[in-house]
Amino acid sequence: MSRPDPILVDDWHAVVALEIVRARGAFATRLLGVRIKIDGTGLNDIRVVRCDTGAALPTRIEYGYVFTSLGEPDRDVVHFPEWHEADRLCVSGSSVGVHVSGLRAVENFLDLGHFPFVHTNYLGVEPYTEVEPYKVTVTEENEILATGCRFFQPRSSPSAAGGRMIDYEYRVCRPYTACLYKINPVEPARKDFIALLLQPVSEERCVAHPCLAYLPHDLDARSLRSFQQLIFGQDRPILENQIPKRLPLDPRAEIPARSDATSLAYRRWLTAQGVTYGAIPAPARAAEERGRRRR
Amino acid sequence: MIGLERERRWFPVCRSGEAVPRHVLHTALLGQELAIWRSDDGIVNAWENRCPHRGVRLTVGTNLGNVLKCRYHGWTFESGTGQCTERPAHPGEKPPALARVRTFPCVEEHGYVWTRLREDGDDARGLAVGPIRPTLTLRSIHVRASAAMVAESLAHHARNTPGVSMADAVDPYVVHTVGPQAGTTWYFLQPVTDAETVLHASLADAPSPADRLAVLRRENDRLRAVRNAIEVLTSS
Repeated sequence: MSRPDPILVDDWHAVVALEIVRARGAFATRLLGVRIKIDGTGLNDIRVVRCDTGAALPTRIEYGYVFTSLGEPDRDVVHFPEWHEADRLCVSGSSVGVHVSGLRAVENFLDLGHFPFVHTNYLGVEPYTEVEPYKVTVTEENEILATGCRFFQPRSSPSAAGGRMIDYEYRVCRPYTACLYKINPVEPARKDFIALLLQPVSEERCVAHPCLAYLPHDLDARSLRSFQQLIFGQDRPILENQIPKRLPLDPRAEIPARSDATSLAYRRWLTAQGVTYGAIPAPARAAEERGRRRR
Repeated sequence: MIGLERERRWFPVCRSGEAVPRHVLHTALLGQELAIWRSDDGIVNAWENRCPHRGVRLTVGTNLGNVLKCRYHGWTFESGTGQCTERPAHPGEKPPALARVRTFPCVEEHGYVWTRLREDGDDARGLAVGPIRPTLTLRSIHVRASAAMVAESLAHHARNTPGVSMADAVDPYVVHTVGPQAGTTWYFLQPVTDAETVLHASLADAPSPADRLAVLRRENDRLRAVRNAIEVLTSS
């Protein structure tokens, strides 16, 4: 699959933290396999161009990132209201490149079951490994919503004093964008917010750009960022050891459990929208067989 | 040898001594990545290096003695069958039969772990080792070249070494040389991919304890010379 899907070409993607462009003056990366260059010094003169054609690309600055698109976006950059709440500590940057499809990285972000094994003593610990049933729906806005997720976390955030059950909600906004809402350990009536914007560098490489909007109890940007880097640093070697690197959409390619309800919904949702970039599409034969069985 | 035929025959994938308890080894055969591990009861397993749940390499997992535990979600897989015995997200629930790692037939012989990629393989094992059996296993080395090129290079090296002669070629993946000084040497080739080979070598006669170190050094030098000669050819 060399030609990216229109739904991805005609969408916005975060490609670099604004502060990096400001500090260096210029930055080169890839989006959907296409080399692009970003330059500028401030908010008003950031330019993004394709290296192959020299064409200027549409540009937006949001959440501390430069967003661009290879096509003609028919919708705006994804909207996170939490980022604009006045009392929140908002941190972006510290993006991490991962040698795996961005779709695999989204799926990892949506996953509860790995906490005790990958984020031991932070987001989970044995023997508290059970994933209780939760609810997954696709909203009218065509977003996936997972609600009622609960997990025991020894240290759910840098401000957590000890272990407790943490309530989670997940939202998949776009094929390469997901966010989560988790109970703040100090102020349990409100939720901390994390979004992960995955830049599809190629089908098998991505850059994860995080956006964190936390309740600022005893927190500063530095400790929040370092916590996020610690957690993502634990995920990265797992992601880079997934075979194949692209996400298989055939339901028989990998054996799921009930706890994988969100990831199953995500794979079906990608198939329904015809997303193939970074994926191994389900063979048409499989769909036919399912139809035959139903008859 | 065509693809299917190669998948039916046995190949060495590591030395027996490398499959130590509570360890998981990473290797590959004909492009198939393998996780090799020995259970506490001594059985060696050769598995597809991929958890059936989310595709994570099992070589980053943990050998717990009688099960291999995946690093990602802690699923455990039983020695011998590859069947999942526990999914920690659903404690106490019996995992479905489909939750099973792909396993390959596995035997230990002549100091090596042997496997083949197909169940319906050649039972004669194709080890092609004659009445004289290898007794001293040497260090195995990786070579960036096809097995055919390694075999050819070994033959060339033997022809150019005084007092060493090639025994009759019985198998494209086994080279057998005879010489008064070195004695009988067996070379077993593991085609990792079409461009990478592990060269396993054994001596038929174990040296006396006094000679052992000198013999190991001599053979090590010989193998490195073979590798260097091949890699000079392939890098030019």
